[in-house]
Amino acid sequence: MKAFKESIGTTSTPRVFKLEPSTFKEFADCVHATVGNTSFAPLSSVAVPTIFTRFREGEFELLERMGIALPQVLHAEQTYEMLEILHPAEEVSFKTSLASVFEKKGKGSNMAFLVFETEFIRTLDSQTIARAKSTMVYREGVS
Amino acid sequence: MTELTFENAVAFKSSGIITLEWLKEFARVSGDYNPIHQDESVARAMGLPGVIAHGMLTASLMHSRAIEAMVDYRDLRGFRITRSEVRFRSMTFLGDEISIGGHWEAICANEIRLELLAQNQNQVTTVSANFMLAR
Repeated sequence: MKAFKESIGTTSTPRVFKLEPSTFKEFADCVHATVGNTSFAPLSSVAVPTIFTRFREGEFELLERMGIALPQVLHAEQTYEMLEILHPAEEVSFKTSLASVFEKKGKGSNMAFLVFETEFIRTLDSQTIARAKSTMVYREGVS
Repeated sequence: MTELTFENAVAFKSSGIITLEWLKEFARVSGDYNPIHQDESVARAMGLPGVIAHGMLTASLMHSRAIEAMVDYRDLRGFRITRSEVRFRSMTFLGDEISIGGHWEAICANEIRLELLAQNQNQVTTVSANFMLAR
């Protein structure tokens, strides 16, 4: 657990993505978002905000660097701040950092809460369009 | 469409029953291939009772329900979700039915909060979320 705190401040490799309209639709269909089919104009072009969950590679990279396998963690909390609308085919870059680590005593084992922060920046104007904060729980003794 | 009053609850409504096929599809569209969401033996090896649904699947269904609830009110034209906070409280298993509902809270004329809960078929809250809507 102590080793995790030493990783605070580490940052993932920067990545770039561009989402095609078909990708928006596939995600929306899977999570039953039907609003894109309505005539409610201001919303009709808005992606389901959780589409940003597609871009957790930075988290996964940092977990791997800390020697944590994916099955060893559970998702505890997730926050999204949507500053601008994400449009199809826009190029966006992102990177993730380990912002903090705190520990709690669980029922059967110690748990470490790993807080990751990701910033999404639109390439065209370098504008931050969204921020994500994920809290993952690592349970000691589960391997 | 109706006018929004803060006595109006967002009625609990089923978002579906969790199946392995749905979890595999969510893994594909989200890129989260954590095997505890697909493989019974891995889930059990991790001390879980069985395969559990991705928390982000329920969170996404809640976002969809939030948007659907917004569309019901003409006064919310021009509003969009600017912030969401989701807390995963208990696990969702294969065969569980997810229902989502909640209530509105006014913050000010240009900012409204929507609080939603996801519950399973036993009315156990699995995920809680609040959404800030602004224009």
